[in-house]
Amino acid sequence: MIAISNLTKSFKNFKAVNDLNMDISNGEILGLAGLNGAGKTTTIRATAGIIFPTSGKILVDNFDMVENKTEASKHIGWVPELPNFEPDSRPIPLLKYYAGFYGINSADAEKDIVELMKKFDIYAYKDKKLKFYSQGMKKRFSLVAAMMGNPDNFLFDETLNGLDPQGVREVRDFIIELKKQGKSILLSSHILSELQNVADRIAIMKNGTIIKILTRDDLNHLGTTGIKIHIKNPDDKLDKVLLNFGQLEYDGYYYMIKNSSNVDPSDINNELVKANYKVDYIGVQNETLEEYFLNMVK
Amino acid sequence: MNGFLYDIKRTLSGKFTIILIVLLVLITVATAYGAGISSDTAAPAQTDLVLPYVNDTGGVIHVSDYVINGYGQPVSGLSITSSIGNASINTIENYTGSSNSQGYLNFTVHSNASNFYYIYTGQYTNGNPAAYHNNEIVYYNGKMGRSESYSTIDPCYSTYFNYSFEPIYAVILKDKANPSQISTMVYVPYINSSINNQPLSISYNISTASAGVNANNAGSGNVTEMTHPGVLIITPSLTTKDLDKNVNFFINNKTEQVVPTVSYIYTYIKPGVALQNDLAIYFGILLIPIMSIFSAYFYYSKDKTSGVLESIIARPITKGKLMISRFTGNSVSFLVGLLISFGLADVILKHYTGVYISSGTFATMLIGYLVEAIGFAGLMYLITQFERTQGQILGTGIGLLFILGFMWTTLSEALLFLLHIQSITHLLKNLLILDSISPSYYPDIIADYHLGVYSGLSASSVGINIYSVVIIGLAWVLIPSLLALYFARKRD
Ligand SMILES: Nc1ncnc2c1ncn2[C@@H]1O[C@H](COP(=O)(O)OP(=O)(O)O)[C@@H](O)[C@H]1O
Ligand SMILES: [Mg+2]
Repeated sequence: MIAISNLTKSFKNFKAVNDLNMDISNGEILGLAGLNGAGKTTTIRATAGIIFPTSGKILVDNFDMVENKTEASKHIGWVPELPNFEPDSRPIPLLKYYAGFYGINSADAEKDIVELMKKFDIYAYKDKKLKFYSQGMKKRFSLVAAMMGNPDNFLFDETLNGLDPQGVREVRDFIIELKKQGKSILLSSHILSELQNVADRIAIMKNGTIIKILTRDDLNHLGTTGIKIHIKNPDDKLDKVLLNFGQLEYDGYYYMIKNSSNVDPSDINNELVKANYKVDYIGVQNETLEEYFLNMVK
Repeated sequence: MNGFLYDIKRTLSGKFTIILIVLLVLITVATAYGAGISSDTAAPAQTDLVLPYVNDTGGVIHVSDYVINGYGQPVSGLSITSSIGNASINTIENYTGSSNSQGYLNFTVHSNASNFYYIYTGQYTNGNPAAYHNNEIVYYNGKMGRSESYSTIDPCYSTYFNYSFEPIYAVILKDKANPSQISTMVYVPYINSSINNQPLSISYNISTASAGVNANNAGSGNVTEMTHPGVLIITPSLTTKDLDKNVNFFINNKTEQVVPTVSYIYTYIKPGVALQNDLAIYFGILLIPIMSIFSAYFYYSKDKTSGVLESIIARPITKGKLMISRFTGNSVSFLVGLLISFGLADVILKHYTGVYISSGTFATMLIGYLVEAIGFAGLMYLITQFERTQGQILGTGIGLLFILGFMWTTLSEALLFLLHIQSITHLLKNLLILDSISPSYYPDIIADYHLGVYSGLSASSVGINIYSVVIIGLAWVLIPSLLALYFARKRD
């Protein structure tokens, strides 16, 4: 359980995080969405105990991250946005060193480490120094590192970002697995749709504060679906045909029919073919969530 | 194990610790070797000395050569080739013989010559000539004399003559076990029974080289029993404080004080002090600051600025404790490095000079350099709290090395010059104050405290005492590091 209340973090006179309140319950995944510079990383770093809040309170399993950092840190794992580990270390000794901070002895730690490295597909690189790890390998390594001490709360900063599609699926599955174990998870991203299928709630952040919290239910009903069409041989009468199916928007290339939840795209296709239009593309479009998001945070 | 100890353990077993210790050890050992081979040793130069005596009893010339080594012990079996000649430089008789088990070679020559000379050359049993001081003795009108000017060679002896022109030999001896101990042996040949019956006494005092010789305040010293007829040995108690001072001996027979006084300058430097002096040239102002600055950089500053430290701060440990653990590991690696270095230096000096470093010198070197290393490291940990890039930190570190290290004396003197401080005592006192502002000079201050001397003045007269030494030392250990800790706990 993570409880953040009235968190403010200033750099000189600039408030990167401004009076932020946020709770994450056990077994919940909270998405934190916001454009670059919104203050997501700053919030996460303060929650991980890396930087000191200017004011406000951060509780991790009821341990205060400032007053009682050592206890609070035992209960939270952090996967940083830009992993940065001792470049000359090899993974297993370094992870054992981390494990030492949780009072885990070397032999026990080694068993867990090997298991986790296998799970995240980096066991094959166990003898390589970390400076020779690729960005993706470092990210996987930092997932293993965050698991040291088996904490009950996790902070994932843009973790899905920059992974290949298979990596995204694996990490997403892993996060969901943690949720099933009852852990509280904060997952940030500057792409809302990345969070859409994982997060139970999404907090939208702008200028250092949360401007809206969306539930999964909200997500499913956000915006309107549309049907996107491209015609090879448009003419003056095309608008008239399409307007029969709903509101029409044109972006210079695609036509978009909105408020069309009860229209079947194949009906539109049939009509267009009948009128001798060459249909290049027709499909249901769902990018309105991202539009919604961008409109809100811009 | 808690995180704090875990981090110290990792720091101590890190690659940099090993490099640090190896470097310290290599450089110290090389310096100790240099100090060892150039130090006075307990063994004197391999020399036997012939102390001759001649006497004419009317028709018979008595010759008695007494042979000793550099410790004052009689030497038997030294072959001596002698020649007695008359005033016209015609040989009266040649004689060759060896010293007996008591160290004497005695023989007589029948001759009516009342003026004659005696020439002798000692040969070792291996055939090499033994050292001689002046191998010609002149006997003229019943009195013995030699034309030499008295000079000091090592091991030196001088011949003096009392008012009756009876010779008195004063020989500076070494101690077999302790090269810092120098004794003076007085030998009065005893063939002439009237001299033999004269009781002898020796006393000594120690004066600064310029103060001259004054017998009034002579101490008695430890005069040994006569181990040999006519032989007295006195061992003045000399300490490091007597370095470069005059040691004056006053030899008296029954009726008078022998003139001139035997006098020499005490130049013996204990090998440990010699090592300390050698190290002072570059250890305190260069090597320790460099190593300390780089160790702080590698143990802490580099990780802090690169962000690597964050991956550890994310663990159950606070920023303050992490800084303390790095700082402790840093300090302990210096302690271990210095202990091993000086321990090995001790063994080397013992090997080459026969003397261990005194525990006081050992302790002052260890504490002095450790305090310096901790002081510089503390300054680095402190600036790390305020600077953001590795370049800035290393730049500031090198600035510290320049300013507080090898430029400090120049800067201090320039400052005092600008302040028009002229009286020498004032100058020294102010230099001392400035020296205590740089950790580079703490090893010197504590060494001066131990020796009791600061630039020729008594250390206490310029304010070097147990309190100031402890306070300055504690200040360097605690102030920079505690300030660094304060900011490490407060700042990101
Ligand atoms: N250490 C810092 N010093 C000064 N400004 C900072 C620092 N860290 C972050 N910021 C500023 O705070 C704002 C929020 O940054 P960040 O939390 O990284 O945003 P996000 O992760 O949402 O992209 C940005 O304007 C950034 O420039
Ligand atoms: Mg970020």
